[in-house]
Amino acid sequence: MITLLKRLLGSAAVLVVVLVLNFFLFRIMPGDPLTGIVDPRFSPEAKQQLAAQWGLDRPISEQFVVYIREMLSFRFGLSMMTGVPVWDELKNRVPNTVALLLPALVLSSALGLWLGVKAALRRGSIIERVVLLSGAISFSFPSFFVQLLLLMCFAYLWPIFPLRGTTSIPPPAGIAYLFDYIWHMALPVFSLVILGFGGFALYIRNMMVKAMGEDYVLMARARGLPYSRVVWNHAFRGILPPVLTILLLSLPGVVSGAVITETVFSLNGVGRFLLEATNSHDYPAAGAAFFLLALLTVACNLGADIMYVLVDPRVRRESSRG
Amino acid sequence: MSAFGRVGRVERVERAGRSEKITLEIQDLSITYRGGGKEVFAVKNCSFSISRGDVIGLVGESGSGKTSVLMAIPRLLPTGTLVHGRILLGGQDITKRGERAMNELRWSRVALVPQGAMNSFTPHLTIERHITEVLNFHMKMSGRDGKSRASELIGTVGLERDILTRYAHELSGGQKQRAALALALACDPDFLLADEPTTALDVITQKEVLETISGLVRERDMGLLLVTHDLPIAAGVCDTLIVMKDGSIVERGNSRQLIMAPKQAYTCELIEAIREMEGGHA
Repeated sequence: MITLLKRLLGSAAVLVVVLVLNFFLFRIMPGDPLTGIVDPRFSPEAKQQLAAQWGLDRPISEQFVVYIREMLSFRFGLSMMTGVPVWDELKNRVPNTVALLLPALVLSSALGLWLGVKAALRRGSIIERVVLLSGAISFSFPSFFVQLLLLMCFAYLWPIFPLRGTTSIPPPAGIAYLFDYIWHMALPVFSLVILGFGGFALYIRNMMVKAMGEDYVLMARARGLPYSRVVWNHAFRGILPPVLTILLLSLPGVVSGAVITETVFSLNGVGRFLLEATNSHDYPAAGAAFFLLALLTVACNLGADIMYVLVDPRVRRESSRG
Repeated sequence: MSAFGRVGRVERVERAGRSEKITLEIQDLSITYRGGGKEVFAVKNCSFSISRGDVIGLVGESGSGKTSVLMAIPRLLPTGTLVHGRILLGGQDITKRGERAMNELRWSRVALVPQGAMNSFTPHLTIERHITEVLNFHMKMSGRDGKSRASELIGTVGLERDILTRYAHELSGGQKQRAALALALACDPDFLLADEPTTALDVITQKEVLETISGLVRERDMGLLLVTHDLPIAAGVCDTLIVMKDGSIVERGNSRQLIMAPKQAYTCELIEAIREMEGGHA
């Protein structure tokens, strides 16, 4: 319990640092929201009026107080790009990002896990070679390259998937909308799966190869236990804590990676919103997106710690003692 | 259940009601390890037999092939290892058995006390879970019966009951070795294969663990094959000694006679080396 409290306090401290840096970094960066406006019809007076409307004419300390209040209340203020509350902008985009990342994460983890374990159990087989190759591809190719290649192959040369967007224009009604949505999301999700499963499979394979060589696994076999029990209850159960940790800690990276995927496939998600907000110095929008990303990272770190305790009875016992 | 499994179970029932000695026979066993394009002979034409009630020591220096022989019996040698010869358990050649049929023999007929029990327990399972798992699989004993039997076994090897709720890393070396013995006895096997069971233990704990093993083996009329490089330990526990060198058996005989009047030069060397060490320590 004390350990958990310490972790919670640590996480809170990290969030405070992120909140402060998030405010000042954007303001230190060259340019401001007004320099982005290049329309010649915008007079200096009009720009002044806009600055007053966005609160940029107030002292920095006052802006900081307003920023903290907005962030902690999760209202996030008004987007300078659209004039719409940032929370509303995020609400519209979050479902698309979740629809992209959740299936990609689940499928790549499941495929990586299955292939990784199979590769470890069948050394020298085709499966092991596939895992080693896919792992190398995951680590060697930039995601945008693979995604552009997929777009070229399956949306341009052989157009079985749409080139861009989350729905057709105009979007169909009823159940057809759902199919249309899935059709649009299929290629981006597929791209993330083939980019993600290899590294995970390679990691699982390496861990399982080591685990299967442990004396306790040989002894589990010596005890005449069924092979599946030896593999899953003894070997895999032993590597589960680090596997779950890796999975949870990769989540913020996957969300950050959504910036590229959503941009390549022109998806209306949080990642693309973050990129546009940063480019146009939309302080409230970019601040909110980065704050939420930091929150997710901290939550995943905390989740990994808690998960470690839950899946490893030895750590659980040590924690309850200490 | 497979045909071999049925035979195994029938045999267990039959042997319970008969006083006949079940024998484990090793006939012309040869073991060759393969790896990196090379073949390494570990054991050459090794033959011996052990019956229930026998206590046999397999001795020799490191690399003489004794652990390979021991691991060949429950068929736990690394994949790709070439094994020739026959291993007969109760007259049946177990080298021909499928993996599932072999699993029915492992632990219920032939159990293992490993070298350095330190790493032989699955780290995330309690000692009790290890024992109840084999009881559940081999004896179909679950729940309260399993826990009660685990408690009884742990008491048999001279450990406190609270050991059951602990993980291996929470035990001392001697406690782990005793817990490994309790686990090996769980299914009341015909034969116990002990691979250097006292390595890494202090002298007093070594003596206690060996006394516990030999006492329980004799009490339960099991066969014990003790693999060790420590000739005095083997001589103190075993009735018969088999001396191995470079994968072959060089001498065998009654422990006392073999120590007092060795026939082979290698056995003489082994005994002499020990005497020198003891003299040096003294």
